[in-house]
Amino acid sequence: MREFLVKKDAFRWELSMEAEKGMRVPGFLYADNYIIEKLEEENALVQVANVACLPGIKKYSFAMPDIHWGYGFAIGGVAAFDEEDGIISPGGVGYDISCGVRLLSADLTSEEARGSLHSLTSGIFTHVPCGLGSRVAERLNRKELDNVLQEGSVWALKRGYASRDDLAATENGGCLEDADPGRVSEKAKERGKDQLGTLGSGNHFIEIQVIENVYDIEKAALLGLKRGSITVMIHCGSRGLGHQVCDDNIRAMSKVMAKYGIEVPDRQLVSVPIQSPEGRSYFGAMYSAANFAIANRQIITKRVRDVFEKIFPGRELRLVYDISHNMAHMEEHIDAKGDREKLCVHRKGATRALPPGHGSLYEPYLTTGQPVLIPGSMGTASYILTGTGRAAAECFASTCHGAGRVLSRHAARKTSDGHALRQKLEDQGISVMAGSYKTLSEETPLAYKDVDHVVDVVDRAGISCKIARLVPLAVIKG
Amino acid sequence: MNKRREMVLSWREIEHTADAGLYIVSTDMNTLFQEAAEALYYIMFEGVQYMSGRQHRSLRIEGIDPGDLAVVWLNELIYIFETEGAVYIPEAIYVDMERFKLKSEGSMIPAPVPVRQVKAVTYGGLCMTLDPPALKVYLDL
Repeated sequence: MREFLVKKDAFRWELSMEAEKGMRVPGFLYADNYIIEKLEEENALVQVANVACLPGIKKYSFAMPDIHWGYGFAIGGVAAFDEEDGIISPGGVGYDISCGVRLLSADLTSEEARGSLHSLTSGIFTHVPCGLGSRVAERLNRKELDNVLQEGSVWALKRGYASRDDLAATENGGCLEDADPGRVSEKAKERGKDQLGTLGSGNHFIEIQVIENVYDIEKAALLGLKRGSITVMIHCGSRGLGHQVCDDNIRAMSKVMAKYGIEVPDRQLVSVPIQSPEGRSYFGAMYSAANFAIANRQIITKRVRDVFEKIFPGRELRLVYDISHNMAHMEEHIDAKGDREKLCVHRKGATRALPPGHGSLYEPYLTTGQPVLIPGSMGTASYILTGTGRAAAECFASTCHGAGRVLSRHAARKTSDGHALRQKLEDQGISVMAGSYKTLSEETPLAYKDVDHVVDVVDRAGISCKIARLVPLAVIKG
Repeated sequence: MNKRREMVLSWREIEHTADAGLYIVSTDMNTLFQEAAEALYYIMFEGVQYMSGRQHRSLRIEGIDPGDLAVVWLNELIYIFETEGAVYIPEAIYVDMERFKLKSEGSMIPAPVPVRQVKAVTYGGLCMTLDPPALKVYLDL
């Protein structure tokens, strides 16, 4: 399929509609030669082509530079569908609904924190349930769980786990209002009832960082970011509840898809019309799972703040932003004729990146553009970017979400064992605490693309703007 | 169960960039579903000692086609682990490939310490053949 790629400029490639029978639009990749070379297997390109076959797709089947093989959609895939004749697909969101990243900024420099870093790391490791099968002692009853699913961070605010500033610094104000807990199955609720406030495992983490470099001093100041300051990054999602919502809706849609006359090249792309009962049901359940994920990250934030307060009393740990990278939203965009159109934008392993001046943003984001948080792989840098007008014009205000894998977990395990990897990071001055070291090597930086490079591509392509670079001091993993 | 079991060629792990794939081949459908469970448990726990537990349990699973039945079966095993902290050991499985139904008699044992979280068994790249009985499936980790 690589032979169907046509280079448009240094950072843009088009995948011809001849790549696969049934493509309704071309594919479009943000990549440079390095990224194209790293695209070692064809599967990701096949998935870009498959998505281009879905009914009602607009413009292109997009792929961000962190693209890799996923399920249905490639990870790093973006596609928008017409509200009237387009589809919604759980495969375009993923099992970990509203997996996302949150960044906290401390009123503290790395020099001031140096002597207490170990205490902070071990304190967070102790107080935030993480790892496989992590659960909390305080199990939510059904009514309370439904409140979480309905209200997200608003629920947390009512219970003293969040401030109004936290909600203002969270995408969608911390609550997706069209959530419908009645659309979430009992099985999903059973999985989620004792997981609120837990990190999970795999590539989920909490990282203590320092701001090493600032690229845009003015915007960084508006976001409250200073070189040398400590930050804390949290990466996790909707846990078992979200996974079950995805599975439930894939099965429900599989049973009815044929009656809508929809055929898909991959079962994981199962889809129904946006306006169908099944489509509306999935929206209600997906938004509920997203509210759970947002509340999850907020509870973890509260636990991290409690630890922080004990070690650095009186020093604030402020939320910079919280954003999801597995979601589908109904959004308004401008078409080629300049008319407004309402679209269902799927972002799977991709981040929304609204431009400065966007009507849904408040200050300071109205001036800076919406923050985009890009976690690197373990031991590598992370980035803060902001959205741009070019992203809004070209790719439905979207950008990448991370570094993107290049090695399978199987292959990554062969590069080193978990303990050796941990030692290597410690030798670099990065503390690591993990629930299990057995599979730590699956998250080796060697398994990922170079995040500096991926971020450089979106920045130089003009779809995101680099604000700051963060480097890790300590990592907590499940 | 350990790595040597994999070498008996009932199943093997398939490379996937982000996650894990399984390819299972067997002599009959009932055994295929049994071995699919073993393969899943290998990914989750690096093996589970198959032994009779104290608590007997019957499971009834339905699908809309052979592949769907396999996915639903394996996802039910994940669900049991996540919600009960236990592992379901199937002792006798009966698969009806005309009506896409499965009946399992088995027992529950305390779960060993997991080594890897499996979010779900997916439909991406799903492939099942009846002759020979074989299943290819990918897990979201």
